[in-house]
Amino acid sequence: MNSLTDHIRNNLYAFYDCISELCGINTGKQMPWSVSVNIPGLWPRLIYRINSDMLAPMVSDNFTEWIKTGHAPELLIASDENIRQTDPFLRQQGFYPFAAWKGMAISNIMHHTPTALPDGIEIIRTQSSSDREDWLKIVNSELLAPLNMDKALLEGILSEPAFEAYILKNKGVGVSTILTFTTKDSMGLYLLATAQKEQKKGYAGMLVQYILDKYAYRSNNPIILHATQAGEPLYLKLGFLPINQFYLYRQLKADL
Amino acid sequence: MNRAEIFDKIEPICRKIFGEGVEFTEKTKATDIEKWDSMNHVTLIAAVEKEFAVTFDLMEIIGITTLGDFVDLIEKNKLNADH
Repeated sequence: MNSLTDHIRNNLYAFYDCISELCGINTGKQMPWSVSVNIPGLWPRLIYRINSDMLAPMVSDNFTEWIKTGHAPELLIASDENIRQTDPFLRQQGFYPFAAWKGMAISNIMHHTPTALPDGIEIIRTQSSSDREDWLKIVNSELLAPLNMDKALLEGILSEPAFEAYILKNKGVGVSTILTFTTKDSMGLYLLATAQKEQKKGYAGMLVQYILDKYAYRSNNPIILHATQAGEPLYLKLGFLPINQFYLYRQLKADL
Repeated sequence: MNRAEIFDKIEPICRKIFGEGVEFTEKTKATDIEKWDSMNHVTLIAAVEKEFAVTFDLMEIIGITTLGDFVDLIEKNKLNADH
């Protein structure tokens, strides 16, 4: 049986693998690390699945060679598994940590009581073209990925049964988004965004609560998400617990 | 080396990375400076480590939000080195 830590990692890696494949990207799953290049709306040149396997002699040599031959990624995501050993290795390769996020999870939600939405608020699964356009507009303006996610990619994502996109509307206007990614043993929440002028009004919380209520009827598998420091208090309030940590690295380009 | 002396060494590094025309104080944080993005953040960390001949711990780096945090870390590192 997987631990919550495994669920969080596995869901994240499967999420990137799935979207990368939709973008026609070979993620290099044969390696102990995986690579995505230019995923619109997410991250360009990203390496993930960084863990202690990286330190095996053949693997670390391979990685070093790969970086030397001009494949340096813009970002690298390392899990906290043996990070005390992987961090010095990554620094030797010229990567510096600059941020961290927490993997959080909520489990045993079968007995959850659904919460009523306030007047004027509706949450719908984005099916229509206009809802999907609104969803994209919020994600692209608020999540600040270097490349915008386009409609074709969103259509590709939503053609996969594992993904569902939801939008929260206030009086008919889209204000908050979320993308769920369900695997056989967990559900991941991604791309939670709220239009800037509508932030701090509780919409993101309503959206996550709605997903919790809905999912509770379907499965007792854990729900996982990735929280920045700013988002953590909201998720704690909703019942999520911090489980593990991920670190973001960038390659040092200029040596002063 | 006191806090002011440490900061006096950090400030020129900031000017090199973020440019002139910005006031740098210990309270200056990333959101105060347009050019303080993740790329320049790691450049700043590496440059400060080099200037003071120290290596920051992973968790120390993750906790950096202001220029004053760098001064705290240098003080702490120097204190540890003295003992």
